[in-house]
Amino acid sequence: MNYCRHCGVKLSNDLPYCPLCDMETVKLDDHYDLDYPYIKSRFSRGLMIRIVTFLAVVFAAVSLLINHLVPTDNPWAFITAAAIVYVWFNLLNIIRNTRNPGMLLLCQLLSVSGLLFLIDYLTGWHRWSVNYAIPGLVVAAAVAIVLMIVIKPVKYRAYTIYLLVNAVLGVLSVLLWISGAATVEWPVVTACGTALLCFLAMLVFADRRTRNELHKRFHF
Amino acid sequence: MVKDARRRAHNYLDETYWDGLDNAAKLFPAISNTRSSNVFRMTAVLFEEVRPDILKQAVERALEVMPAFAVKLHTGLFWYYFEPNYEKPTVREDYRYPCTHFLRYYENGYLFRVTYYHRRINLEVFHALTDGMGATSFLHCLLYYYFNLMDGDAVPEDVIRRIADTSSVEFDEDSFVRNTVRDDEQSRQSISAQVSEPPEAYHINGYKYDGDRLGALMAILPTDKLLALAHEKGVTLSEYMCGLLIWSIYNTTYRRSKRSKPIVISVPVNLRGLFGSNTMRNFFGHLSIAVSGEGLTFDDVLKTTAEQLKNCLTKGYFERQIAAHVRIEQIPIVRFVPIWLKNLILRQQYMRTQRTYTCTFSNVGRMQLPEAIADRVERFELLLSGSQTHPKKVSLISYRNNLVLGFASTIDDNSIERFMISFLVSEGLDVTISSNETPAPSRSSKEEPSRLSKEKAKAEKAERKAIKKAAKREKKERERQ
Repeated sequence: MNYCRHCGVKLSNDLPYCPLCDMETVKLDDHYDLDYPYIKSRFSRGLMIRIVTFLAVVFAAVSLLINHLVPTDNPWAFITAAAIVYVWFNLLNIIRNTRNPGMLLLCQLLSVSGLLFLIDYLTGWHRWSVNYAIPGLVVAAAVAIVLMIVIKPVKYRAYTIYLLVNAVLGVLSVLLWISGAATVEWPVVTACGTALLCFLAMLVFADRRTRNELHKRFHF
Repeated sequence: MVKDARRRAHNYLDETYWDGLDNAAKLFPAISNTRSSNVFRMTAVLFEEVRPDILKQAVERALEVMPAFAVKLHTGLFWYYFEPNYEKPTVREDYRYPCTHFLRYYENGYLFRVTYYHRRINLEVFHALTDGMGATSFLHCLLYYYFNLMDGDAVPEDVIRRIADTSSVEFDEDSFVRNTVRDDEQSRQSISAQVSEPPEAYHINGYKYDGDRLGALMAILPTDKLLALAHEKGVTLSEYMCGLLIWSIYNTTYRRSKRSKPIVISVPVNLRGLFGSNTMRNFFGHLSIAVSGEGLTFDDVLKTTAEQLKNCLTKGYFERQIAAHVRIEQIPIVRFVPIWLKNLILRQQYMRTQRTYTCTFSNVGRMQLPEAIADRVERFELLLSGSQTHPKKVSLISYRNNLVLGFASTIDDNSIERFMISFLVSEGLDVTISSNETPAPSRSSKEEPSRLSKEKAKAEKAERKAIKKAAKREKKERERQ
């Protein structure tokens, strides 16, 4: 145990200087308590995110610059920029350690849809994205969530909400056809039907717990 | 289903269980970040080294009888909610600054963390989960199981069960809502009282520490002598220490300021006794003690402190406070605002209330353990987390003859602590302090030789230089000749 003559207090830890007055301490006996560990550096998560974001901005800027300096009719740099944003977004999810598979799936659905739409729009607007790709993705997402529920039945309650969101997206994809963006009807209708059917199946097979899940998510 | 049931660490909460946060807890997820974590640490210091394997088992057993702690926080569309957590709780050796922010998934989703370090068992709790009283119950339960697992039945199982049973019936009750007075006239008055803001209080400033660093300083005092000191002045121990805190601020940092604003101490009060509640969630109120003026003496400060504490410690005062807080969360428009917008508004509102007090003084009082294990714990300690706006927080906890005064600080200025402790020393108390300014472990053993070798290298360099210079001089002289 140490002693500070200036403050008149005993120090239970082995400190060469008094934490109160910063004066040198005197040794009383050899018994010391170890109360707190020495801490080297603090936990920092922000640095990785900053590095990734900075690199994304640099790559996007460089591709825009090259596109501007090398004369072409094709604004390919926008596609590159969109792809960079997509990769950046995925890396962010990895760094943040997002563990919710339903959430990840929906994020992928939305971001891949956006990316494909942009590529289609910038490469001549052949409407392949709105006609086939986006409805296909909605169907794939619905099937994937159902598969997750089948494989891990205990966690199915957590997926209820994602099936609901997917059903809403399915209904929204019909808007693509109504608004005239999509020119082929059957993929859009199939997507909407599948999404709604999956949600209905969930309601039928797990009514009480699903209701419970919806209740707690939306309680007010 | 079967497979998952076997994998679970414990299964005392139903899978469909969920619960909204209590009135006070709703605030904490919105306002917490790395610099103001709203976590507090309760420590039990044993007489022997802690055994991690047994501590791990003890935490699991304690969770079984206190399911209020076996939850994780989820975000809904309008409010946060708790869901059962079936993961294993983490038990680690202490390795970070005390009371660091809780990140989701970091402690397997739990809102408390148990760490150990030599003789100490630390329980850190996020305030959204429970308050000091709830944490005390959990730490005690943890200690019963720890000592039971160490050597047979130190505390009989039925004693633990009885303690657990009293809390299990209403463990997740929102006592704020239950104790809201439905008298419209009164609550309207209290809301208008809330709207008319109290004046701004003096704030302690200083050079802020980096990141999540928190300075912890514990002063271990003899309870009996301190009680004698307080009784000599005709006040209770809590009043005495609160008065002394105000007196310390008044004589140190306040003196250096403009002295235009009052010193206001915010004192959290456990409302369970007052309202007859056994909840394991938050149930506390606040009262403020304001002191201002020139040329005060310690006796003046003590007198006003004791008076204000006595005036506020009534059921009516807290009924009004609770009614005002609960009324806000039950306004229909507020209920249907999405959670992220709600958090934004809460944060603004909270920053405004933060201006009205200087420092927090939290006294959880006397700890009591069953006879069988009472001799095996040396003392308890309590540490609150500092915040961006309030760099100092003071806490008090006592066990037997060890009263521990805890200072948490996020600034590099300890004049308040120094004044308070030297005051107690001058009153003839025997004070032992413990601090988390632990020096780097390698300093004593490794740096000494390296410094020596550096000096050696320096000396050698100087020698070589001297030889070169001498050679040059010789050359020049030869050239001259």
